[in-house]
Amino acid sequence: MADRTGSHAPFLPMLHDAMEHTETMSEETLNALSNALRIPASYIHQAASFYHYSNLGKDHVLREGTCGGPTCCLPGVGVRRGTPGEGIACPGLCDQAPAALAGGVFRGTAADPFLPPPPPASVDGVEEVLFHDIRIPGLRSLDVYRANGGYEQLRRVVEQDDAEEVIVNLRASGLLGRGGAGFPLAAKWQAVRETPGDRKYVVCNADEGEPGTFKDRPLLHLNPHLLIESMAIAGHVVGATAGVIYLRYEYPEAYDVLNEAIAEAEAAGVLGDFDLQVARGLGSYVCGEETSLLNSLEGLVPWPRERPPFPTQKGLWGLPTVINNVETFCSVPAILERGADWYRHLGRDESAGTKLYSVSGRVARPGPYELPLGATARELIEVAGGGPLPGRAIKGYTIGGISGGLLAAEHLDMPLDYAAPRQHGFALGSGGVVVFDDACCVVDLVRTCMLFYEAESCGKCFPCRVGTVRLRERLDALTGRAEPSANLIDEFNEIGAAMSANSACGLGQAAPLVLHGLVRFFGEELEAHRQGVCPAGVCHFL
Amino acid sequence: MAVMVGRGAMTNSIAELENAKLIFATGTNTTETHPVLALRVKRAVARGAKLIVADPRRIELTGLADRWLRLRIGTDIPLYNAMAHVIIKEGLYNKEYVERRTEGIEELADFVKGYTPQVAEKISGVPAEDIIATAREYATAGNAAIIYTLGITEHSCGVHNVQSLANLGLLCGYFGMESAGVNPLRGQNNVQGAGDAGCTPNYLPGYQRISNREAREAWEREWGVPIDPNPGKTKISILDEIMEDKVRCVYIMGENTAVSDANVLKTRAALDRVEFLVVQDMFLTDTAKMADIVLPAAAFAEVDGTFSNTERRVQLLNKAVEPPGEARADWEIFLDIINRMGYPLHYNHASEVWDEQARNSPILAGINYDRIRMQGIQWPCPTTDHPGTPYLHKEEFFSEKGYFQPVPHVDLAEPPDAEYPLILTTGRRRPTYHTGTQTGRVDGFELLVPREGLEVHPDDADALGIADGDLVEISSRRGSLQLNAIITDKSPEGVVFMTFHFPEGVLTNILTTDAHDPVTETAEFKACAVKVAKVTEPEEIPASG
Amino acid sequence: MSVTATIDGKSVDIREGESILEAARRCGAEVPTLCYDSRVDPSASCRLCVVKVDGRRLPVASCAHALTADMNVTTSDDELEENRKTILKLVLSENPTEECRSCIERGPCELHSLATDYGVESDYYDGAISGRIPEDSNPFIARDYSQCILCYRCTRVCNELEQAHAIIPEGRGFGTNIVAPFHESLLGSNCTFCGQCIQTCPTGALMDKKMLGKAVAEDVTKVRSICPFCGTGCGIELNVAKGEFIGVTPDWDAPASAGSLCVKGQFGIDFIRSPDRLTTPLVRRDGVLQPATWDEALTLLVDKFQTVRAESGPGAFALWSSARAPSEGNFLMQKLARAVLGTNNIDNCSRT
Repeated sequence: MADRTGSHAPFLPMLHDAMEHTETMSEETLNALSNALRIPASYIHQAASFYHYSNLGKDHVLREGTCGGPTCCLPGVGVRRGTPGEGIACPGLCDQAPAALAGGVFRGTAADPFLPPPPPASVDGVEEVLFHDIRIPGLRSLDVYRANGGYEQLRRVVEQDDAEEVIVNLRASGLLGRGGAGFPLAAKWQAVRETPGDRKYVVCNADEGEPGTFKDRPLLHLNPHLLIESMAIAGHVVGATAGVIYLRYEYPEAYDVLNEAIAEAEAAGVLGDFDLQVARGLGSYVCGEETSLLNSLEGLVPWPRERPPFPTQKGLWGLPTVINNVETFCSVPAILERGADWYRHLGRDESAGTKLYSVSGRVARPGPYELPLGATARELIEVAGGGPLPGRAIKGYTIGGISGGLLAAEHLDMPLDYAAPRQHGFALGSGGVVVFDDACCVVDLVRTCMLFYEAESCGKCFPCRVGTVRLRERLDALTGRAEPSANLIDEFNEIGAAMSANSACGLGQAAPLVLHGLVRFFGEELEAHRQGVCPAGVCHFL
Repeated sequence: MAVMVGRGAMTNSIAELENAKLIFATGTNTTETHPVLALRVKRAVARGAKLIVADPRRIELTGLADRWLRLRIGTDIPLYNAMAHVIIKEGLYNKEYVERRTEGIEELADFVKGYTPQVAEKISGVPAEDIIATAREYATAGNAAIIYTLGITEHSCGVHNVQSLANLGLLCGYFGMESAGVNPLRGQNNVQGAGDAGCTPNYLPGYQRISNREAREAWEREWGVPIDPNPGKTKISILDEIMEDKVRCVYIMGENTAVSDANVLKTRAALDRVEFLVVQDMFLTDTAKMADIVLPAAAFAEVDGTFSNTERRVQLLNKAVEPPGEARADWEIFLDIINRMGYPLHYNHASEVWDEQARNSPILAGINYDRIRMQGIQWPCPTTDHPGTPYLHKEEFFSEKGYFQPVPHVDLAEPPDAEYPLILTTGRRRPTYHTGTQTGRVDGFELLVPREGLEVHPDDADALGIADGDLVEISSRRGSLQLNAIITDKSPEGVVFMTFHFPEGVLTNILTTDAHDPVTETAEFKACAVKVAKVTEPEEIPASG
Repeated sequence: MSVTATIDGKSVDIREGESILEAARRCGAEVPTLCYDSRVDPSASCRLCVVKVDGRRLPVASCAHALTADMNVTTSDDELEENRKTILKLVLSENPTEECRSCIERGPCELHSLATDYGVESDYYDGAISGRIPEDSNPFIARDYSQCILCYRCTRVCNELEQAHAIIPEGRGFGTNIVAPFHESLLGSNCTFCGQCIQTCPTGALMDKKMLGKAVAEDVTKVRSICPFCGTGCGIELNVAKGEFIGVTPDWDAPASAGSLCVKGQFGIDFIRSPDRLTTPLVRRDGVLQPATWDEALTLLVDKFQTVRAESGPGAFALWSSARAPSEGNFLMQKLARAVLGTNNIDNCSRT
């Protein structure tokens, strides 16, 4: 077993090491891991058996499967999903749908799975921040990155050594966390900076597991140094010398890209004493929840933690920790370079800055797009995404990937900002939008979403573990797989209410949102299904 | 320890262990012998307490420990002396406490000068730097608890082992401090109670010396008869007196001495010889089988009564079921005999027996059944409004002061040699208890540790050509027996291990030496010289040697 | 500075380290829980104990959050109760039980007590069930996860309290199973059979196999006693039905053990009903031990003692008492020695 003693979070790397040697993990391997990590073997077993792609408590590593995500299961894109457990979790290839895992490689329709295409050309008149440089050939290399101004902001921050100034700037920029919760970045960094402690961590949440969301991927693949520089700046500001990028299992190429870039940056000495490492996940949506992510790094089962304490106080290994997602981190250097005012005014109305949106499903040009924060769904779908497929009419769309909610065509002019979706009890979330049209069945789509939540529910808390299953079963019935019960809507409402209010983390809280959208905006189609009719002709009734 | 601070009991309470900042566990396989008490140690560790374990064998505790001092068997004294050496030399001891409450620091300081960590390393095999680090951490912990069991006392130098260990507690002021102290964990449920009740040759009930006239007179008044002012004979002396026909009648209650004694063949010879043997027990044990009269005793669940646990807590037993057949409570049997012996006596209830014991025992005087109905009380408890004493020596010792005891290292009574090159050490396993009289009769326990095996280190096994599961013969100067080998590195090279839980298959104590501590007469169960050989022609495992 | 908080309109003093749940219960609020065991860290799994705290967008799990100064807590309102009821319906639907063996034999279990309180039936939501019954021949712990609600109390007690690390949740979500890694049966696993998992189980999923089917709850009386094995002195309750000992439950109030037991105290007491128990005195006649009456045996004994004392004096007697027998027997044995026979030759077996 490789020596990982220098690792900030050795569990995941060692589990990957151990998996390389055996098809099914043996008790001996587990015990060796336990001894090396000084974590009881039982905890390692619990943690490792949790992940989709570990081989502990299972026969083998999962190497084949088609994507069970909402985009890939739309008519005309992929196959209609059957039973639970079938289909892999969305691997973030929605712009290349349908995606699949074949021979251990995640691939979409792109020719080379290891060379993802850069984002489509920017939309006319939009000033890009995050994607500004991304189409520059060779940007992955340190030289090219530096030639385009890279590491200048880190150098300045280190030279000027005025962390307060950085935080003042970030506050003025209005940058909110792009992970979904929309917490002001400056406040978070300030909190970690002010929490006393010799050792602190900077953690990047690169576990982009939200279905219909694939906007961090180009940044990780094509502009790794931007993230590295941003995290190093964070380290300097909050007083942390250790950083970890938690990268989702489904982005294996990014693992190599990031490691090479880190090695290059370290060799060139641009990171100073900031020690940055990459930990690869093993397949789990809930690890995108920041406290689950921390548990995952520590080798514990990635169930969410109760907050408070917040990670800013007790994060990785109980130490003060900045944890932001890729997009948030990567916004920082440009703000420092061009100023808070400039950045703030990039957004629409009250919103500050730009946002990376992912649009997929039944649109002409699916892809990741950078638009002003607050752009409407119509702009994203019609201007950036190229509008509906020929001859089709958009029926509705999900937001926040699927976890922000479900809206109908009549809501296309809703701004995709933090405030507007709240009017419906929804959320901007990751900025992913999955579009469906008149060829699609909204009930079937909602069922696909619920299959995903069921598969990803961690099992810790009662309402989510059982609620996702009970909701999906009722959607089974609506889509022709069983006899629907008489008080279906009541059941939807009461289970959904209990999940939203009482679940331990965002997964269970958000899972009923698509259902709320269905009940509220697609009542007619829902009622038709109760009568045994699928207007789109997707569902087959018994 | 009684010599030093006036009492040999656990100084502190079980629950207090949880809040110790450092626990030094030595000669105790606590997780096996006291599983529930060990939870306190585990919880202390989980809360951040440091755990340092001194033990020749790899045990569960060594896996939890921050440091494992793997000392050679029988080298406790140089280890603790060297710790005292470091603590004194570096001025880490509690000077105010030592000044005010102890005597003999100069003598001790002088004596341990020769026990440098380097000297101790040579003898014990524990690296000098580990000894130094342990001494420093122990002395500066704030409150550190020592726990030990038979790994310390079951040696021919058992008392000296304890004393050299207790010196450390005295140096650092840990006697009389909450969540600290020096704590022997008693092995059997009511060892403390049997002692409390005066079942020792030199103590009346309540640990009052038989030579103490005042105490004796109190009991004489109570009983209306004179009491012999001279101490009686210990069990080991009695065995010799039986062989000399001086002792003619032996009455044994609830003890399978024909199995559990060290050098058990010697005990059996004496019990064979004694003119009249009475055994009172729940079962027809090997000892009972040798008796002239066997009296059927009720089990704990069939009587009202008390047990005193290792933390000096007197706790109440309530009768739950009737004894089988004609079995009777121990106290009722004795009451009957006493009356038949012409000494008229009457108690309405077990509580009256207790009251008699308590009222003439100052440390127990405040304890009665009504007070312990919900929770036990820890002695000393002199009056009925006294809450009991969670930890001893808070303000003062039972003796006037705490007396340091400089004690030298001595070799094992029976060191290994060319003929018997290995050391046999004996111990216990969790699911089984003592001679198996009880646990051998519990449904399902046979699945947990089905039978005895001899644990042999892989290197020794290689040298002896033994494979796991092989039938081997183990011999000491006193006897030999056959059993299957278990190859494991739990014990260090040169040491083999077994328990005495399965006398029907393997009568372990045929092998052990009866060399014993001159004061307590506790035998050196923890080390005797043996040889082990593979049995080439398998035969049935004999019932005894 | 204020050192109080408000729970359901009542002012409550703040106590160091006290959770909202503990504080609420202290001042009389009835907050339901299923995953709570005060001896281990809260896991906030069952989500029944959620309460509303002013300033928090969502209700919080009261077991896992400290009550802090000026907090304004609502433990019960229509919405909270409605959601609790829904969660109970969900839980009851995960592994519905026709007949809860715990309710029958141990008295109402926590799950079904709550179900009764909330008027919830187990078949409210039909759907898949998650539990399985492992093939486990171990003689102590009856595991039937078709009655399990995955509250993880057993695994937390096993790993955090006992630190035996024998059982653990494996897998995720609805497919989570409680397993002993790599072992279908607990035999051969890390399990020490302390039985604490049984004692914390809020349903009938984990039961004392030795007691199973022995009696119904109404017939059982519990008699407090002390474990007769090692010197720790753990508190036990002897369960007695119709005059027969049927098994052990821990005494939660015992100071030395606080409810913990090991395999011996939990499962090792049935030696008392062994057929090997001596039921009559035995006397040696013609070299063979034969049953006798008490009168015969004690007459013989006393005659011999009187004779030997007359012939050889008190020094011819030796009495060895038992460190396993109750103190009262020990005391009277030494009284027999000192006051009646006149010898101090009284010793006990503590040296072995």
